[in-house]
Amino acid sequence: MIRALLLRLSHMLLVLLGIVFLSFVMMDFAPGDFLSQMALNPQISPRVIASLKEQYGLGLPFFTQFVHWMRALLHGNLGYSFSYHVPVSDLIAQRVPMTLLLTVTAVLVSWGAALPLAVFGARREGGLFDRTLLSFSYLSISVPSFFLALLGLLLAEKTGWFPIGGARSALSSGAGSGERLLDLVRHLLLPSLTLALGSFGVLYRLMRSSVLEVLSQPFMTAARGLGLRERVIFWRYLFRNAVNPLVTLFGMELGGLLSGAAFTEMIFGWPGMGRLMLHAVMTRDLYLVMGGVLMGAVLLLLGNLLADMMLYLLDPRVRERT
Amino acid sequence: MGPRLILMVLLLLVPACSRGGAGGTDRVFSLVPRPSPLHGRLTFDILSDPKTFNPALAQETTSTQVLGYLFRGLTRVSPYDGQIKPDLAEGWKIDASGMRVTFTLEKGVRWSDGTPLTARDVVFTFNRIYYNPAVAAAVRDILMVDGKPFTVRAIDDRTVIFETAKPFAPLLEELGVEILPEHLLSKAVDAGRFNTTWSVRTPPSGIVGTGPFLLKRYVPGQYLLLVRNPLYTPPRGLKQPIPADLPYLDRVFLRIIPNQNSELLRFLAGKSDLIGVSPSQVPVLTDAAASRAFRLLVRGPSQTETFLTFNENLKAPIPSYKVTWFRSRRFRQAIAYAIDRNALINVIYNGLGAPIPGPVSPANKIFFDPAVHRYHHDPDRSRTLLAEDGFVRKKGRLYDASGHRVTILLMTNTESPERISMAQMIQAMLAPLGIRVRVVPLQFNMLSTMVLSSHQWEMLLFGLTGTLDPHGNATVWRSSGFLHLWNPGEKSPSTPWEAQVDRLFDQGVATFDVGRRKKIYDQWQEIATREVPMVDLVSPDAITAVRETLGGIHPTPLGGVIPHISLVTQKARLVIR
Repeated sequence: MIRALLLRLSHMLLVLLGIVFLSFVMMDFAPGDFLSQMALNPQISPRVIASLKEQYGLGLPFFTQFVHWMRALLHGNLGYSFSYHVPVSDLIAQRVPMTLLLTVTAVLVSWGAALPLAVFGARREGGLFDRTLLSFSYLSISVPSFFLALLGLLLAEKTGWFPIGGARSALSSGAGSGERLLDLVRHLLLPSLTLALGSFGVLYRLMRSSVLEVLSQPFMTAARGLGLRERVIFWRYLFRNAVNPLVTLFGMELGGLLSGAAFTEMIFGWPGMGRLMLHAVMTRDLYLVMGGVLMGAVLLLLGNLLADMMLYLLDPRVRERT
Repeated sequence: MGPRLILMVLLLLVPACSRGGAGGTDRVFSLVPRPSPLHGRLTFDILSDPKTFNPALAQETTSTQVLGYLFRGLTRVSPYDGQIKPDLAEGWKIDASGMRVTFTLEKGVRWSDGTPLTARDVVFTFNRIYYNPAVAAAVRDILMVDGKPFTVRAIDDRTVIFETAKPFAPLLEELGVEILPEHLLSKAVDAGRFNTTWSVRTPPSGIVGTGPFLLKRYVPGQYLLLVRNPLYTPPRGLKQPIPADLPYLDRVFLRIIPNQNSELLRFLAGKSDLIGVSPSQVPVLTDAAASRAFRLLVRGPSQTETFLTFNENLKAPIPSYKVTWFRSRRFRQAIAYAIDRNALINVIYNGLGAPIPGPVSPANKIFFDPAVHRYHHDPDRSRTLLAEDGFVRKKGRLYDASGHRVTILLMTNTESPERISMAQMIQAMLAPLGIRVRVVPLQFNMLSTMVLSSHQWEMLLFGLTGTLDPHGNATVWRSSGFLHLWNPGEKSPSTPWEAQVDRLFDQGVATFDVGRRKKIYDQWQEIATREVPMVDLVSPDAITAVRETLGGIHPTPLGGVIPHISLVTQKARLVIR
């Protein structure tokens, strides 16, 4: 087990290096750089652009730039953002908690709702509850998240029940911490529900079909025939087998925690990573983009590792093979 | 069951949407007058975070907008008529040579930390910051004459002398750049840390300026709170409608909302006091104005303009017969006559815009020349001009004298959907002449590489940021200018009219008298509209929606929504039931 884990970790490092290198190459291949936006500004001469280019180190050959960046990275330094003139790590550290608050809430809601409902629905396959939820999950899959977000905003504007965007009201500094928390929750509600609704459909359908499949397995009939208690049948035979394919999906979800909410963040004005990264990509803020890519890649790899470890614990067949 | 349910959900949504973004009439907005219009609050949304609180490093509009409330320069441009007015300087004297300007600083101005502003700060700002090669200041160029910095020195605490290598008329406008405090920044400059000083991570109390407001709090991605600067000394000649200390407002609250739809919804719900409106949003807002207690102010044509230009570069890697068409004045005029500007305005700007006849926008009250030639839509004239130039039409297709079919690639940038639709309309407008246009939208960086480096383009639809002083156009119109788009970096003017434009710009930059300057730049505008190397098209109206709670709002095309933020008041409170 330990050896397998170490092997996996070393593979992950290689994959990470590959991702980072390829992203760097792609940023270099795309035409222009951070300063290109200035090229068509009549008030900024090519001479000034050239001197800025030198200051930012953008004039160096591609490989030198990459080696410099990697060397700094090994010292834990992600470099400086061109547009903000502050360390990339500061900017990312500022935004990560807000994004995680949003995405983790959404994941908890969607998984927390979809799994039990799917088990419930599948056991009464074809019933009114099952059909209603199935139609609802169709809707949730087919409506794009940005549209749902806009509908959410419209709802907020019509009813006045929810704040329209942002993550905080302009509370006077005298507000107590309880009041602040309530305010944050009120702001969190719509964006996290929008995100949760988007993945609810997929999860519901996957889990439902997985439960149905397990229900039709001979070992279920055997378990019933042996007179096992319903609770044992459920947890040991049904849930454990049915959740298996979703564990891998869970790993992917972890990978999307930082980047998956960009649209929702934009529309609701949520101060998270998605917005920061989108802007960084658009302005070609090289090191900020690379910092974001690195964080996303690490999270994706860790997510997959975690998923595999969970499979290892859940599924004896996997354990046998390693 | 499935489809029926979806239908039901959709039906539920329809009434909510069909009432339009303007919202229902379910909530009532009313105004309750405040006892005094002073000490109020102004709230509006901005699209992105400021990138820095260091005025010397600020490059994009969000940062410069916020910093404009915190810092001031020696001079300012009057938002009403474009005249240069005193700001931190109480006045100036230009000597007979035009190469030396002596500024006297306003008496009693203090930095927001209480330290008096002196001539030393001005000298420091220019010599140690703007002219410091280690500082990433993009503004450096406009503070130079022929690549040479101004000589800046202090005579006493309140007197600064600026000397230029040549007479330089735009000097007064350029000296609107922010002045920075020596006592707080000299250490950072000495240590080579200036480029990371006053960043968005700096505690707000550390940002010290002379503007009407102070930064009180900044929460990244969420909001900025500005509070009144009690030490603010208003500039000379500012008319105060209420005899009280400026600024009248106590707080300015800027919320960062990265999406225009959300901004609009927030404004409609009464969460912000004003919002810039695009012409396409006007119908929705007009209906809601009365019930939601705001009015729409149309400020006239904005400084944003769009033009068409042609590749006249003989060395460009495109077929040389095409360059020959583009170098013909008659051909360019024919294109200019073929374009129906009113149709562009109606379709793209909902009828809210104006044709732009020449390189200076009619919004520029001082330098716009009303006598320039205007190209009204006249396809017959286009046909005559093309025929005179040897073009022939066969079966609805246009051929040049040597038998080449007239087909043109029209490039524009993908970032602007308005420009893409405009390009498509131009394609349709040139079709009746027998000209086949292919529209090629390219990503900005790609486009700028093709136009500036590889020169592989034929016709371009684009816009450039205008400046009030016509000299700001020198980089585009001088034949040697780096943005002389149609034929970049000419060693010597390739046509007699380009040579004349060069002479006019040389004269204009050296003439201080506004009347004489205007005559010089009038000649340039007349040449520009006769030769049309750039076919100027249209500009959308600048429109703002303003809540009725605010006072002291006098939007002008030049000064934006709020010409003087220190004069804004809050007359009433908004109550929503």
